Amino acid sequence: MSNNSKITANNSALAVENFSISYGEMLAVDKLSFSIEKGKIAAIAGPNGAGKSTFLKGFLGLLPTSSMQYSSASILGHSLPLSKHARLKISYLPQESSLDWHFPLTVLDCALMGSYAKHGWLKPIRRTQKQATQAALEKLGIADLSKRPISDLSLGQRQRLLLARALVQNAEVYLMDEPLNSVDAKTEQTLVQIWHELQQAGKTIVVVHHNLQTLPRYFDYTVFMNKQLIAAGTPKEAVSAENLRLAYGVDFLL
Amino acid sequence: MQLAFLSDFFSTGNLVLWGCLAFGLSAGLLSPFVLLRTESFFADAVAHTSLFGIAFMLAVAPLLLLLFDSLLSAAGLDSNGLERNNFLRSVYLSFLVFVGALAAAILAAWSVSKLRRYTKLKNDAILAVVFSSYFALGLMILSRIIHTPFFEYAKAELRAEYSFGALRRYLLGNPASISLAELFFLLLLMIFLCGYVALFRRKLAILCFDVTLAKLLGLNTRSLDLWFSLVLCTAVAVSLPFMGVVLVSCMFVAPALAARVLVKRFTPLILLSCFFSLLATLGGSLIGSTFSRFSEASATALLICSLTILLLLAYKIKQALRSGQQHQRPKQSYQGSKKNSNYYAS
Repeated sequence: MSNNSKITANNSALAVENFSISYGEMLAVDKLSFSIEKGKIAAIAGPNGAGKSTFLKGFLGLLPTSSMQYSSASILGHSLPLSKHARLKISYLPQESSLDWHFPLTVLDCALMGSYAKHGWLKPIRRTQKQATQAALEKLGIADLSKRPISDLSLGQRQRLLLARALVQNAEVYLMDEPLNSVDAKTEQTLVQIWHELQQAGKTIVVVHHNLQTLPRYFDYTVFMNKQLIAAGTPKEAVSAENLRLAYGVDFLL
Repeated sequence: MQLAFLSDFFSTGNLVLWGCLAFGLSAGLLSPFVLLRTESFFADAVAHTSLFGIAFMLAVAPLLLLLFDSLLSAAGLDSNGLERNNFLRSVYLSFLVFVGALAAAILAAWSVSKLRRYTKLKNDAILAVVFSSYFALGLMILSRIIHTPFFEYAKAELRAEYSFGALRRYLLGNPASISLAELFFLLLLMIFLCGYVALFRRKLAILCFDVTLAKLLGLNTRSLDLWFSLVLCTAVAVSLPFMGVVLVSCMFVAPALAARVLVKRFTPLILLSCFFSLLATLGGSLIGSTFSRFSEASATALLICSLTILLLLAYKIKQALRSGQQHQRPKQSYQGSKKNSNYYAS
């Protein structure tokens, strides 16, 4: 039995058991248990206020530890609270609206931030470092904007920049908070294509996602939740008519 | 001896010049971070509360000075070198004032964080209440100092530090009257801040822009936060004799605000902010020394603030012109029916 659990732990990129988060009296996440295998493009889906973003934040240690309870929680086999070493394996794309886009930075400077930890905080920025960052911007189709201030970017370009910064970070697991929110179809395609490239390189991608229609097209694993876990599995399995009624309380046709 | 050389080098005129340089550079270096961390009001609160610390220290300073004198004589230093002893005393006194100001600033920051945790009030309300109460306390002590028996003694011993005008300068600032000791503290602050910003600018930039990323990249954000607050408190405490409690915070905000209008990158922002800040301190001193009735501190503050406002206005006008060119027609039609446009705007 113990042997068995060890194997699953080794295979899973992200695993939680009885994971709860509370804001004061209110329970935002209620005894969540699931695990996402390595190399998957997984979605965390559910209605508004289901605690999806809260779960990610709590998992990353961005919420006070007193608000969280769990019997086990780990990422790539590193259990919470994450060590400095473990944190470097994670890249997190915050919700676009959570950042101050009037901050005095150029697009290149912003993307370079992802490489600070590996290249050192004090050394002058090396040419190779700059080239790698420029290449990431190129991949996302915003290389021509690299010298512009980030305040000039459109919504879609901001999401591209955030993903470029994550690429520069070169992590193992990518956690993204609604990256496809209010971006146009072309940007959506670019982003999803990069996810697939990352997947081929053996990385794991976990995305908080709203749009139920696109779930089967973009993801090969879905955690469907509304404070509690409703279902986890392939998108079709997880988001069945029965589960939809459980989550939203109304009948849906997809 | 050495001291004679020092006081020649830092003669009164030079003293002010060096003070302007040291304070201007310090304020310019720190202000971008204060601005981007949205701690402008915190800086103001810190400055106001430090008056309490200064007043307290000035009240007990004569006693501590007696102690210092007896220490000097115990060390056998009282017989020779009156000039040096006076210099040491002045260093000692400036240091006391600095320690008092810093302690009060830390006390204020601590009270604010405690109140925030236990009352769940909004930040600005807490800051306003805390800083005005400490400020009032400081004013009360300052006005009492003049009536204490110690005051007569202190006035006789240290005319400069205990005249009524000298007490007032902590309130309103007076760059022209800084002592050699205070200048040394300012120079130390400048050197320290140059190092601090050079070493920590990337970490602080990430901390301001994206705390989550800072955490994931392995930074200890809590200690960075704490250290920045401490550095800010120190900078304010050292600058008080120069700019005064009331005006000092504007120099820790406005230079970066003015620079922010013109540049959209981080390092140029710091450099331009230093330039503006130096411009203000030097220009302010020049105005102050040319027109004898003008206080240098207020001239400095006035310069930097008017510069900021002018730049902001110019930027707004430029923007309005640009958007006016782009949407000339709709704008004209709005002007034609003002009531309608108001209706839509609401």
